[in-house]
Amino acid sequence: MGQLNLNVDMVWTLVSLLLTLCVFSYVFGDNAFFRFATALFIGAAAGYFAVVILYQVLLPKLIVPLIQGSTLSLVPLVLSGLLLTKLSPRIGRLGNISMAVLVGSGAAIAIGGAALGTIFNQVRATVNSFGATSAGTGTSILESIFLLIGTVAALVYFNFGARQKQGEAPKRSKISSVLAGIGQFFIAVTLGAVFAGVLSAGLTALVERGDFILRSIMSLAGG
Amino acid sequence: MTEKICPVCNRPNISTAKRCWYCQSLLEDEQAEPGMTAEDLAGKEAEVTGSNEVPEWLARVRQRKAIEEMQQTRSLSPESLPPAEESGGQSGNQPDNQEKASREPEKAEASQLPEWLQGLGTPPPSEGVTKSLQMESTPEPENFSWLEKLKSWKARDEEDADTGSEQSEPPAPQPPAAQPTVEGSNEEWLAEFLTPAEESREETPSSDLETRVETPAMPAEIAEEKSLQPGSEKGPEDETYDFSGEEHPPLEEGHPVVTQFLDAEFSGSGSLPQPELPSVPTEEPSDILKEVAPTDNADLDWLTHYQEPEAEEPEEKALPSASQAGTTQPSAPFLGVQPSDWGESIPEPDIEPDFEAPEEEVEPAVLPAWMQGLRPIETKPQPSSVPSEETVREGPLAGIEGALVGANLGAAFEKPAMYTNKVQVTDRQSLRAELLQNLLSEPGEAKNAEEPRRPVRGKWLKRVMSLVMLVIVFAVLILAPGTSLLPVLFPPETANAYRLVNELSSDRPVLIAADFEAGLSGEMGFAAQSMLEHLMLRNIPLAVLSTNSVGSTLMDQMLANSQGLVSSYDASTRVVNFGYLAGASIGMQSLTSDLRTALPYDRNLVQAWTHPVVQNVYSLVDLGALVVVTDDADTGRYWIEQVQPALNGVPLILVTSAQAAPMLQPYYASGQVSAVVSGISGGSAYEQMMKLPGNSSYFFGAYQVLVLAVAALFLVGGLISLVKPAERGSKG
Repeated sequence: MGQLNLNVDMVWTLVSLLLTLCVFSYVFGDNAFFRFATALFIGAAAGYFAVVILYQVLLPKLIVPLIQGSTLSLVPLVLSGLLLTKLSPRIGRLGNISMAVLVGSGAAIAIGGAALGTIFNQVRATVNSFGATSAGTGTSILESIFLLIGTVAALVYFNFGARQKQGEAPKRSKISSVLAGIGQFFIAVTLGAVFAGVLSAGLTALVERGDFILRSIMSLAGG
Repeated sequence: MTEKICPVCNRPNISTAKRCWYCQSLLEDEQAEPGMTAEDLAGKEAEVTGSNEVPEWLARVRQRKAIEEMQQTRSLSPESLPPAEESGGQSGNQPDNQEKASREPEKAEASQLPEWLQGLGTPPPSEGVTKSLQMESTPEPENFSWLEKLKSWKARDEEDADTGSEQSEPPAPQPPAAQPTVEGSNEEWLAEFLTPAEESREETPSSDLETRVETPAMPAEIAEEKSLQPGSEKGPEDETYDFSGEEHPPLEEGHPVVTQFLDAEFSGSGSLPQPELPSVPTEEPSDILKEVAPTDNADLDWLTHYQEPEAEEPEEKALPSASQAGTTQPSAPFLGVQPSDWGESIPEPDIEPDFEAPEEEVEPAVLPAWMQGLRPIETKPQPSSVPSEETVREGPLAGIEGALVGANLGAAFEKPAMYTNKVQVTDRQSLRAELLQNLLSEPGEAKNAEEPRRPVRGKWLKRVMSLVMLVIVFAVLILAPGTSLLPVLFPPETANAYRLVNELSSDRPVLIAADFEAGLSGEMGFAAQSMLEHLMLRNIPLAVLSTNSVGSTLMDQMLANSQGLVSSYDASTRVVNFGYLAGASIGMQSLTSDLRTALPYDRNLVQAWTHPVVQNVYSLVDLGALVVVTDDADTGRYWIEQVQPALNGVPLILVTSAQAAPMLQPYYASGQVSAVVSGISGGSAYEQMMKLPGNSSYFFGAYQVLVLAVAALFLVGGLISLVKPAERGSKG
């Protein structure tokens, strides 16, 4: 039994190694190995997603309640049936009801969450930073000022309103231009940080995959 | 009992009969002189004609003529002469007297004829005959201008005839066929025309027409031209009506009506329909009249064949023949007649039943064969002698003669203008259209058009850099595995995470939301592995869910890896996997409203809330902490926005990828997130705080080398770009 498990692990290790090498083959450009690996991943993920939806969504949250006699579950059943009509161009308009429910509820939740969870809390946090400075150190005051300037400058940068003088192109005011320039700096730093994070994540994945390749080769060669 | 043989029809009659029962003709004792038989009459006729070779029918006709002559001779006796006053006061005029005398026998004969027959020839006729005549003539008096001309022409002709007769003794009767036939309802002029017709019947063998009728082969030209005479105004329908033989009692051969009809038709002055006339193609009346006038000679040529004996008489030579009259009369009555609509105004079969009146006493019989042969229905249209001018030469009726000339509609309409589907645009418009097409075209197309092939240098540069990165990784992992320079200072958000985990109660489960993809599972493992080990070391119960399909499965793998390091932790009893939470932000929101309804079952479809780990949990507040493991900044933000307000002091810890950390850092600064562990650096820091060696610290050296290599590449690339600016049109 242990020998069998070992062989199965080696098979899966070999498969994983081959698929990893297929993905790395993209270094030499788009090729059949890379496309095969990507297609395989997409197909496996789709199949897995279908099984998960069936066993972890439809069955426990729709079929089982219907069997138990929950009439409320008829609502999602009807909406799901209407959503399937989207497959037919002739009666696809019936699915608009389900789409309206989905989009409407999703938009409402997203807007409510963004307002209450992000905007208000971020503004409050910015204000509180100054309140904290009264009891804090001078560094905290500088950080709060820096944070305030960066926030305001970034918001001003995204303000594209300007007055137009006769005979001249629309142009921002001097204050707005200065703040927009400062905001552009903060935005560039933020995007640089995001890019650094993406690069960091990629390098981490590269390290992890490099280690897997080495370990797999060593295990297959030693095993 | 002896029988009397009718001299006309040769049929036996009873001895007491005075008239033939079949033809109503007078029998011998009434017609001929006493002792004169029919054979005698025939022999006399043969002497007159000088030919015994005439056919039987001609002999019979001439026999009847002889009988009539004898009757005329008998009527010319002094006893029968009318008074001078009745003769118009011209008692001294011998020709007039003779003419009057020639009319007397007819009157006498007419007095002997039946009433219905008298009505045919003398005005006022019977009502039925009158209507029949009206049927055959133009019904509207206002259209009789041509008839007036005809009468005047007839009168002049008679005057000419009288003059001729005065010049040549003795006066001869008028040639029968010289008179144009006119029919109509006007009784006065009808009487004028009927009288000379009867006169002509004295000289003209009226039976000749019978023979002509019996003769089936009448020249087609003649029949057609006779149909064009004014007397044949009525159309083919009327002819069909008259001789249909179904509505009227059949007339036998030799019947007086038939005889009179045939005589009238033969003489050209008859008012009865002409049976053998073929249907004439519809033409303009003026054209027809123009064509009729010069062909009258031909019409009578075949008739003169039977009139040779009379033609030899000198008094007839003095008279102009009918054909000559027709040709020498420039003022022919029809030539000056304007085309009228008389042909169209002829009433149609509404007069049909009126014709039955005269034949009421006639015994119904089968229509004789010769009469059936006269039926216009059965007549075959003869080739028209009309010149081919009327032949349609084009169109759907091409080749058909006599077709009505319709309005030339083709000339009234012009050919519609042809519009092509090619858009006519100016050069400027086409230039703008081309510009718009270029704007709307796919960027790739334009790029391919401008850059047919990728520069070889850039392709090889990318390959070289990729290989360099791989070589560095393998070199570090092979040559110096685990060698790294670990940071001494820890990020505060990571330190808060360590602190919070240390402060968690072991009876309150920690809900782990695994929302990351398989591609970044390695990095997420480096970041979360140390925290999971920490939780297991503290024997904290764990509940796992995921808002993507693979998150819970990947988290199972991480827990299995951590359990390998913390053997004291029983994952089977301390971990509950709720599996997939559908709906993303909506599903997250449902957790805040009713946790147990949102997650009714675990991944194995078992009642999850009966598990000892979570049986005391009814809402998010009952949790020890909420750990969100995600590689996406938006997913972390959703958790913060939707769930964090409902936590009510329950710590929210984010374990994120390095790429999501910068976007989630403000939430930590605002206090919405309690702690953040991001990437391999955060995991390595967490391991250092735990003082346990782990994968993060092991691979952190390689990670650092790669970061340095990338930084070096950026520096070199920047220097190169400073020394050698990029080519115009290329990006960086």
